[in-house]
Amino acid sequence: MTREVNPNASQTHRITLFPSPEPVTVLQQLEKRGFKVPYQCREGYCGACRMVLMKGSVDYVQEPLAWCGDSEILACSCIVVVDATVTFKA
Amino acid sequence: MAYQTFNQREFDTFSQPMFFGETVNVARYDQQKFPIFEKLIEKQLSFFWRPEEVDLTRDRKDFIALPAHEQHIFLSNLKYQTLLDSVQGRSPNVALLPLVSLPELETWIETWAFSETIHSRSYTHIMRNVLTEPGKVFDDIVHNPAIVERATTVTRYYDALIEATQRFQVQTDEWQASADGKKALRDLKRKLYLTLASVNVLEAIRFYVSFACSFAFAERSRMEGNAKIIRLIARDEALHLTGTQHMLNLMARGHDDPEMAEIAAEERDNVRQIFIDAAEQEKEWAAYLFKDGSMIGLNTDILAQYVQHITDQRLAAIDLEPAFGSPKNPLPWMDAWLQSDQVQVAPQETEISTYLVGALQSDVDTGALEDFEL
Repeated sequence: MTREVNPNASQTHRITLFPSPEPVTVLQQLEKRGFKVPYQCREGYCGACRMVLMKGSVDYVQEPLAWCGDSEILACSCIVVVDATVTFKA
Repeated sequence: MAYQTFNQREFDTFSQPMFFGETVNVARYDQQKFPIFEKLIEKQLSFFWRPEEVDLTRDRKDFIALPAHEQHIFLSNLKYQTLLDSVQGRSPNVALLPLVSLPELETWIETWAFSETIHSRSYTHIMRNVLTEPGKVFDDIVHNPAIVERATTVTRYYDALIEATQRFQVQTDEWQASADGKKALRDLKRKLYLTLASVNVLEAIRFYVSFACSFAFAERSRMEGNAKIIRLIARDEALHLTGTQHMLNLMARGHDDPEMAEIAAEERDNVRQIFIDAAEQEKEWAAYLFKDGSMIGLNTDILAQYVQHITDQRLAAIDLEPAFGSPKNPLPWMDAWLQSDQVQVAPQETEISTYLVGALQSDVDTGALEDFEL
């Protein structure tokens, strides 16, 4: 039996990203893999690309101004340092 | 205790909560309890712009050529934006400055409200350029029932807080220290928390609905000067909503006044309901905008889905459950309009907001250099 899927509903994704030799942000990595991650300013102040970091670690290339909870990251402003598993809605 | 413009008591800055502690005395930023607010001030100042920088001569021709129902959409949207910034240009100062206890937050509130006054001046700039008689449009803001209804809901929390603050601050120190005084203070804190939630709704949901309408015109290469101004306004609003989210989250997570954390826990359902009610109102507003006809790319249903999308995103940002099943953004072009590095300041580029779009590919694929030899 197939479950009916609302085409308008966003899905929760859980993806593992790896450190990249080029300075590519988490948001850019996810976009390269085809995910339409919500974003707005891409400068760390609007908070639209906020997501949960489940495992691994990231480093900020620009200081985020938007609120970030304890396990949250701003995808537009950080790069992967240690294999990072993130969950987000898209 | 009455408000003091220069509190002469000595106290430890780091022991003060954001609001309802000692009133601020020295405007000093060498010791900051929450340095984020100074960072927001710096960013806001770096965003400085003037409405007159944007040329609107083409918009006048565009406006005259719009069909009547699209003129209604454009003007109603502009009236709504004017209302929202009339409120935001003064209310953070009037409501929050008498209560604030940290210099960096006090200055953020002033910087924030100042930037809203630039927005207000820009609406006059738009109307002067687009209309022969802008006065009628401004007059309608206090007469039009659809706008007045909105004005009531965006201001009631502010007004309740301001009134209660005024009552509280004329009381004696003895009364304020009594059981009744403490009860009144807790009630005042609750009013502040709900006001901040309602402000966040205004900045983070209501404004974005209006931005979608402004950008929908420009997506069809109409009213592009207007969209250029709205893009500058949207960039400021993203910062303001972040500031308010910081205040709400610092309070709710117990990083500030412990009594505020209790109140935040008690008010979770009410705050979520404020967001849901506002979303429903914005959907009604969408129906009013499109009552005589939709426009290409935007109608009541699409705008309603956008309202639900943005509401759930904003709820999540302050740790509340989504209310509408987190629908996808039905207006993907909004992202490009809201992107910071798409905002241009060079005068020759300000006329046409599409100047940069698609003009530059900044990614370089190393494969492109394969045949290159020195």
